[in-house]
Formats: sequence, structure tokens, C-alpha cells
Amino acid sequence: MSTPVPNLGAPHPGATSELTVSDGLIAETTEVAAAPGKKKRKRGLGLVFWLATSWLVVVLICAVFADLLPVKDPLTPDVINKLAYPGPDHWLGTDGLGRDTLARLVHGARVSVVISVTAVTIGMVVGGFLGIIAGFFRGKTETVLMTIINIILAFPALVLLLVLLAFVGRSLVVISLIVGFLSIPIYTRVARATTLAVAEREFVRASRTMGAKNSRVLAREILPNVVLPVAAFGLVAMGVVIVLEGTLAFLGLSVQQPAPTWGGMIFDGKRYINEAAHVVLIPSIAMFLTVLSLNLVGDALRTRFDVRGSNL
Amino acid sequence: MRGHRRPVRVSGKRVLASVGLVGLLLGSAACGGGDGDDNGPAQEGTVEDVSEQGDPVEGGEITVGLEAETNSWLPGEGSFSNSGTTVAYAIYDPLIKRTAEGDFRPYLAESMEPNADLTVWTLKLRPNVQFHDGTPLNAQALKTIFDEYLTAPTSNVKNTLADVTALNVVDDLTVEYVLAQTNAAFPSVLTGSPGWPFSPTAAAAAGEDAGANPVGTGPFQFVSWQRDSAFVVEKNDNYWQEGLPHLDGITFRPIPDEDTRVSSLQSGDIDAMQTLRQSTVQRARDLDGVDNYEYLGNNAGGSIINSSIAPFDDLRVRQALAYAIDQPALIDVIGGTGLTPAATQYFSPDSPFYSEKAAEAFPTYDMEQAQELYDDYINDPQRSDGEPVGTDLAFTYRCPPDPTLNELSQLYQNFWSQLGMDVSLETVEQAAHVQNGISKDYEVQCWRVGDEQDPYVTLKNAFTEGPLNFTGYTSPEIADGLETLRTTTDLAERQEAVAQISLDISENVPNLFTGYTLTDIAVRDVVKNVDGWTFPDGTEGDGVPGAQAMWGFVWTTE
Amino acid sequence: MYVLRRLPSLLATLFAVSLLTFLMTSLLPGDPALQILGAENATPEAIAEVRAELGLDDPLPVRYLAWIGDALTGDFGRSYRTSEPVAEAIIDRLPVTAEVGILAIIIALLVAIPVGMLSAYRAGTRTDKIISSTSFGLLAVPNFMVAIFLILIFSVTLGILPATGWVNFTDDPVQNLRSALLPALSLAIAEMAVYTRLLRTDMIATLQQDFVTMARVKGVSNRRILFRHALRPSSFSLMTVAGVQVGAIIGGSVVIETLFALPGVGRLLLDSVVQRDLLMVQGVALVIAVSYVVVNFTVDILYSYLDPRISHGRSAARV
Repeated sequence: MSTPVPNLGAPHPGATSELTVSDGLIAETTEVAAAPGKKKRKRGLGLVFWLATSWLVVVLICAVFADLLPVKDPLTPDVINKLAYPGPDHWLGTDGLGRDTLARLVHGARVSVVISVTAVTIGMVVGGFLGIIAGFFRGKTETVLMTIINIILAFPALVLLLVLLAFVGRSLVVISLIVGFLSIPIYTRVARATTLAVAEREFVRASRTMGAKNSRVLAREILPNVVLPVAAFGLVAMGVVIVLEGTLAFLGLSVQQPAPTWGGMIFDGKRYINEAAHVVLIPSIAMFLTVLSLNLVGDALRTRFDVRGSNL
Repeated sequence: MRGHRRPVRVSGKRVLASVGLVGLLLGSAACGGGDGDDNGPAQEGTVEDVSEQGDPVEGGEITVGLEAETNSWLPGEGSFSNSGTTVAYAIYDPLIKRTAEGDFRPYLAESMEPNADLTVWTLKLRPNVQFHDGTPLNAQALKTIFDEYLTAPTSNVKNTLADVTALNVVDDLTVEYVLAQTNAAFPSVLTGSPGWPFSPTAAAAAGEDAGANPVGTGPFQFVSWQRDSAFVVEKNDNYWQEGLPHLDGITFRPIPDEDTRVSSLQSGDIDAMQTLRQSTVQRARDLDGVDNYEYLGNNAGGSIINSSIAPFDDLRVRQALAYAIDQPALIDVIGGTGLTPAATQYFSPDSPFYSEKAAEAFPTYDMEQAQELYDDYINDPQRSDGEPVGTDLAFTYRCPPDPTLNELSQLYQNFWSQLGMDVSLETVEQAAHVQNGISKDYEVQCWRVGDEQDPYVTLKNAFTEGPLNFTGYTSPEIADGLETLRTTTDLAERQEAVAQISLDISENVPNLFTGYTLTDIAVRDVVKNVDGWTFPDGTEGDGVPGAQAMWGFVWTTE
Repeated sequence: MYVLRRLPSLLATLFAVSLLTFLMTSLLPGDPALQILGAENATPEAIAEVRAELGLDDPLPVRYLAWIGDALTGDFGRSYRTSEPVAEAIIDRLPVTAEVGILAIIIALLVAIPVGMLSAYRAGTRTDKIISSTSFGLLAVPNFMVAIFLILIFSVTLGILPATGWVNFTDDPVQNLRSALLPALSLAIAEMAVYTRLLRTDMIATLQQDFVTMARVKGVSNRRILFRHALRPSSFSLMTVAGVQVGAIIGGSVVIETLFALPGVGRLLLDSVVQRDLLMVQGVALVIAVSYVVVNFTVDILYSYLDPRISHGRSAARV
């Protein structure tokens, strides 16, 4: 287990991925090792879960339909009205260029959603695949794969980011791909650990003893048992990426202006904290609620998956 | 002693500018700064409130917060930005410094005289001045420094000294600088790091570590340096100026984040701080128990236009760009409203080289005029970029990453888009940004122009053929004016020449401006006399240009 | 044996990291010679001279081999920008980053161990839910905002801790701790949330194991069960993460060090990359890679200390 972008020095992304990884890993392995024990199941998901889900749905709608929603123009400056407080004209006030904060939040949601979904998908698919391969075949394949993973982890991500952004430009797609690439090692480690655990189980051994082909064992026995634990952390990992975007903005490495991003809004608004704190607080709260919701929902779903897992 | 409200020392009477790359970079960051607006007392950088100064108090130590760390303290190796220069004035003395009137006057040197055609400058040193290590400051020391450090292959002042063919020792305390051609502005060069004598014996002994072990003649001597954290100096008991310095010691701390630096001043972690950001100046003005020593310099933020490529080689396009921007709005966004006037040329209104005519000639916000010029160009069958008639211009505006510059470039984009131009923004790292400027690999980009050097130095770099002519713009008028500046010391004639150049620039707009930078040294009001330094003969000095103080004259009542 | 088995992979990692760093930094636009000279002196002749002086015109492979040859003998060269020896610069800064990081981990553990155990012990109750939600909340704020709030509260408003002004431990241990506290706290906020969650998960599993039930049956007190019996076997993930965090922190809390003006490795890396100080970037990258590798390795060894039943093969599977 390790952090996805150790050298960016962003403790959150790193730290949280630890959480995601280890949380799942532990849940899985302990269940495997310590056998069935949990009896709490089928409890209602609760009000908090549904509130969190609703918020996420709202964010998703904003991201998808930003252009259709009846919000103001997020890009055109209106310097006379800069730093306006929330009011009838601007429900959430305006930023340092007089642009409507609500409109920028709605459009910024798109960046957050695209980066987090892309990055997590890449991480899960590529990282998951590599992890399963490494965990299943072991031996040289594993050594080589894990060495590559270690190289990615030990390499200063800051340098990689600067080089890629200098040559390819800081478009949403490029940044999503880079963050995705950097999160591959985490998933590889989770998938590998889970695969190692699953491969030891009776049904897999049995299947192998009966002469099943590797590909068949992989597809039929290993994959289904690895996918769920890995996927269960997807939501939580998305939260990590959303916070990471803020750190990238701090380093001047987020999506190119004038596209609004939540991290960019927080960072650009930071210097107004004394005189117009809402400029920085409102996007911070939006990010806070989103990441919190992702964690709550992810946690609730994970509990469910785990329960099912132990029933296998 | 000192009254309450008094004029801030302003441009035209100052020395030293940020020399080198870092100065330029910090400068461009400084056109950062935030907001401003509502709370601003509408004083355009001309008046400041400073507490009663009282009589000098001996002893005490202070901590000063700086914008940035300096890479090395050895002239020739160090890039002395505003923050580096202010520290350097604690350990080094400049041979020449600028007076309140704007003349160059010997400071550490005793005298400096040119020959009739201004090709040989003879500099006399004061007797009995020693470096901190006891080495005497004499003619041979200056020669060694010049030959072995300042003109070494990797020296970063080699080009500044390119005109100097030799430094000759005349007698023990006299040297002459022999120039390749007449240069009336030569003393200006010795205000910067080429004119800060350091102990050649100490530098030779330290070898490659000389940059970390500075030994000068200044009021304070070096104690320790932890990079990025603290540069500590203590009183020089053998200082050549009687009665100076007042303080026992100073700790300089680089604190790159503007917000943290202000917080540190508020919490008392530091006693003084410098800033080049308008929004920070605004905030510092509002703090209780804080004195602000401000200075409106010749340095101005803005943009440069690459006039060496199409379509920007066409005057109509450059003018359209200039007419389309609302300067007060730009200044408001950087937080300069009420602090700094709109810039129209390389020299601020307080400089003796400011030209009314050039100011009037510089385009002011006029969308119709801009549209007319723009339409005229794109509908011109002979348009320089060879595109079909009617095609809108598309170009990229580049800026380094910084919250204020982010906002600024979005505002530019908005103004120009209204004309029909397709402007994309690109954030470029500082190192690459400067490289792009030098290789003219850009279209329009953020830049910072002007400094406190002699106008000849500033304008020659900017508008004669060569890599430092970032805009690629030259003209016979400018060349003519520069020739006058180079060859005469007569102020009226030189003012006329600068006015001629400024007017040409206003008419041909290779540069766009926001405002002049108001710099500030904000101190807890126990720190006194930050800008009250004088020459050894009592002549009033130029105060705190570029937030650079002469620390030997400062005292604290605590 | 275990060490020997991992050795080739470790060496390959270090080699690849140094090679990649070298290539990538060299590829960055922005000439180091220009950085040294400054824009005002960057005439083509001067640039050519400086490039020649620094050997920047040699082909990349030649330069890399020269560097690695020297590095193997312990000579990491001198910074282009400051002429400071690279090794010295890193040795000066490592303690700062390490101290703040370790302090952060200690603070985080001091909070996380009791809170995580409480959360596990009361799993499913309101207490647990509040703790969980709070942990999630702590993870949802970018660290630079955490730092800004801490400075506003503890320095500006209360005036009890310095916002900036690093003091070395050897100069004044008390002031040193004070100057390290806010940065450490900024880092610890997120980590304590992580540790709490980890410990909770592990602890819940442990509490369901037979030996715990046995202890309960024997009438051992809850507190004793939690601290004496359950904590050690529940701290594997905590160990792993706390350990690897050390690597991550050495890798550079760029943001925290910039905000609090700390003379640490993270800020050195950022400045060096930005200024194209190639040799310094190389040195820092190598140190980060080494610390990453060493810490991972140490954590593996720690596993067997925590629970001798776990073989190295098994622990390798976990990490």
C-alpha cells in the first residue's frame, strides 16, 4: 500500500488512498482469514445516506447539464460587481472578477466529476488488471510488475506533471489521464492483495486441481471476487481525486483558465479570506460536501458488499 | 523628529533595481495582488501614515519577512531581486547610490568622475575602510573582484559590464573603468551588484562556497544562513560610518506565501516585511500598529506584444489590443485601485523622466476605436498574416501561474474577445515564460517592464536589437533618443530624449500596462527610520525603492 | 535472505527513478543557463558559454552516465543555481521535513488510537457514526485551507503559536517544537482521520476473533482487552500506512512547506524543478526514492515483529 502521488506532498490524496486501500484490504482479508463473524446485515441505509446520495446526484446533474441549467455566464468578468455578497442578483455572490459563484460552481462540477471518474476508472481498470495478473501468476511476472509499480510510486510526481503539462497542455483530458495514471499503483496493490487472498481459497484451489485453464480460473473465479472489493472503493477514491484537484490548483497545475474548477476557485479566492471570505468558503463547502458524501455513500455500500462477500 | 503625514519618496530618486531574472520574475508575480476595492482610501501612493519616529535607539534585533530566498550572496552569482537586494544592503555597501533628487552619488566610494567624453570613469575609495574579515578595501580589491568574479564566464553581470573594457588600478585607492564607448549612464551600473565590493580574500578562501559566506563592508556582518529559513547578521562594530548601525542584529526570513507573511506580521513573528503586491499593501495599510513605508516605482505590470511576427507586426492590431482594455478595471483586479495610477510608459508620474505627451498619446479604453482598427485590419486584403479577408485573429495569451495573473489574463481575454478575437489562455511556468520572451516564442504575454536604473540602461535593453528586446520593436526615433542618453549628462536633454522615446512607444504600443507597482515595507511601529537613510555627507537618500531598505539606519524602540 | 531476494528489484527501482527524473527534467522547456544568467544577461554568447561550462551541450546519455558515475562514489555534484553541494543541501533539509512528518504521525496516532478504538468498540452506534462522519469530513478539505485556518486561529487570533520562523532543534528544542507544531497539525488532520478509520476496521475484525471472546469469558476487563489483547493484532494496517506516510512526507509536503516557510525537502524540490536546477532535482528525487524503498522494507520487517506468525512472503503479499 502506498500513496498515489507521494511526492506532490499532498497528504490527503495519499492518506486517503491508504484508507481506501487498506480499509478494503483489511475487510477482505480478515474475512477470509477470520472467517464469518459479522452478523449485522440488511440494515436500512439511513437518512444520511440518502442525503449524501441526493447531493451527489445534484452534483452529477450540474456536471452533465451545466450548459442547459438556468445559471449565469460563468466566464464573463464584471469587475464592477466583484466580490459581491450573496444576494438576489447572485445567490452565492461573485468572485474576484465579478463572475457568479453559483454558475462557476455548477460548471466547475463538470471538471471535478470528469477528473474523478476518469482517474478512478483508469486506475481501476489498468491497476486492477495488473494487480490480478501479478497476484495470480506470481513469480517473475509479479516481480517485474511490482517493480514498475514501485518506480511510479517512488518517482517525484511533481516532475512528471510539469513535464507532461508543459508538452501536452493542461486540458481537462490530459490532467484526468495523468491523475489516472498516478493512481494505478494503488489499485494494483489492492487487486493483487485481494487476488492473493482469493487464490488461496478452497474453491479456487479446487478449480485448479480439477485442471481448469488459467484463463478460466481468472475469469470465472478470481475476477468476480476481486472486482467488488476494488470497485467498492471507487467512490471514496473519487473524493480523493477531487481534493487532489485543489492541491494541483495550489501548485498552478490544474485545468487551464478560464474553465472554472473548484480547486481553482478555492485557490484564487484564498487571498480574499479576510475581506470577502465567502469567495473562498463557498467553493470549499461545495467540495467538502461532495467529498463527504462520496465517503459516506462509499462506506455504506462497502459495508453491504462486504456482507455479501462473507456469504460466498 | 518626523511628522505624521509626509510624501512618500517616489520614483526618479532612487537607485537600484531588481537586477536580473529573479527581479523580473518577482516583478511579474507582483503584478499579482488581489482585490483592493471598497476599503481603499483613495490615496494614489503619494501619502503614507507613519508613527512618530523619535530619537535613534541603539541595540535590539528585528526579524524581516522577505518575498523570496536568494540563490547566492556573491555578486556575479546571486540573482538579486528586490528581496535579495534589501538583504545585500545589510552586508554590502553600494559604491554608488541614488539621492532623493534622483542623482547618482558616491556612497561607499568617495568620488566618481568621468573624463571629457565619458569613456573613462575614475573612482576614488575612502581610506581605512575594511571588509568584515579585516581585508582593506582598496583599488586592488576592486580589480580582483572585477577580473575574477564579475567578468567570469558564468557571471550573471557580465553583460551589464560588457562596455567596460578594463578596470585599471591608478593608485592604492583609485581605479578607472575604461569603457568601449561613451556612456553617461555608467554610474547607474555600480548601484547594483557589480558595485557591491566583497572581500576577495574571503571569497577566494571559500571557493565555491563563497556565495554562502558573504563578506562585505556593510553595517552588518554575516552570522549564519539556513536556506529558505533564516539569514542572520549581526552589528559590524568596525563600520566605517560613525554611529551606525543602530540595531544589534537582523534575521531575514523568506516567507513566499503573501498571506502567511502578513499573518506573521500580525502575530508578531516578524517585525517587518516587504511586499510588491498591491492587495497586500492594501491589507497592510489596514493593520493596527503597523507603519507602511511605500514607494511608487517605475516598474509597471502589463503585457508585451511580439511585434516581430504577424499579425502583431501591424500597428492596427497592437493599437486595437491597447484600445480594447479598460486599465482601471485591470488595476482594480490586482487590488491597485486607490494605490497606483494607470501606467502609460516606463516611468511613473513622479519620475523626472515622465512625459505628459507620451501619457496622452497612449491609447485609453475606447471599444469603438479598437473595433474600427481591428475590422480595418482583418478586412485588409494585404493583411500581414496572409489570412483570408474577414478571418478573425486567433492567438494565445501566456502567463505564469499565480492567482492574480490568472484573473488578470481572464480579463484581457474577455476584452479582446469582444472585438471578435479568439484568445486562448496558457499558463506557463516561470522558467519557460522567460525563455519564451527571450526567444520571442510567444504572441502576447504577461510581462513586467521598467526599473530604477538609468533610463539609458532600461530602454537600451528593451528597444535595441537583441534577445532582451522582448517585443522585437525598434525604431529610428528610439535609436536616436538612446544615442542622446548615452552621450550626455545634461538632465534637460536627457529628459527630452526619454520623452521622444516614450512618445514613440505610446504611438506604436509594443507594451500594454496595468499600473505602476507600489512597493511597501510594512513594519510593526516599534521599528523606526526605515526610509530615512542619508549619504555620508548628509545628502538625503532615495528612501525605500522597490521595498529595499538601508538597514544600517533603522532602529527599534523595543 | 529476504533482503537479498528483494535487492534486484530495489536497485532497479532506484536506477529507473534516477534515469526518468534526469530525462524528464532535461526535457522541460526553460534553459538552466538562462536561469543562471538572468534575463538581463542572457545574450546568446553568454548562454553558450554557461552551457559549455556546465556541460549542458553533451548528449543526454553522456551527461547521465557522468552523473551516475559520480553519484555512485557519493558525489552528487553542486547546484547550478546556488553552487551548494547537493548532498549537503539535502542533508540540511531532511531533518526539517522528517521532524514535521514524524510529529504529524505522532499527533495523528495520539488522536486516532483512542478514537479508533472507541469507534470500533461502539461500532454501529451513534458515537461510531459521529466519529466516522467527522473523519470523512477531515478528509474533504484541501490541506492548504487547513493550514490557512490553523494560522488564522492559532497565530493571528490566539497568538499562541508562530505562523512562520523555523528554529532548529539543536538551537532551541522548545522553540523548535513550537515552530513545528502548526505545520505538523496541518498534516496530521488528514492522517488522524485515515488512522482512525483503519484502526476501527481492523479492531472490529479482531474483536470478533476467538481469543477475544475467550478473554471476555474469563472476565478480563474491557479496557484490558482493548489495549492489551486487541490493539497489537489490530495495528497492521496502521503500521503500514504510518510507515509509508513517512516516505510520502519525505517526498515533500510541498504545499505545507511553502505555506509555513519551512526549509524542507519538498520546497527544495519544487524550487529546483521550477528553476531547472537539474542536479538538485536529481538528488532530491533519488533521496525520495531511497526513503520510499527503505520505509516499505522496514514496514515489512515490522510485520514480523508485530506478529511472528506472519512470514515475509505473507507480508510481501500485504504490502
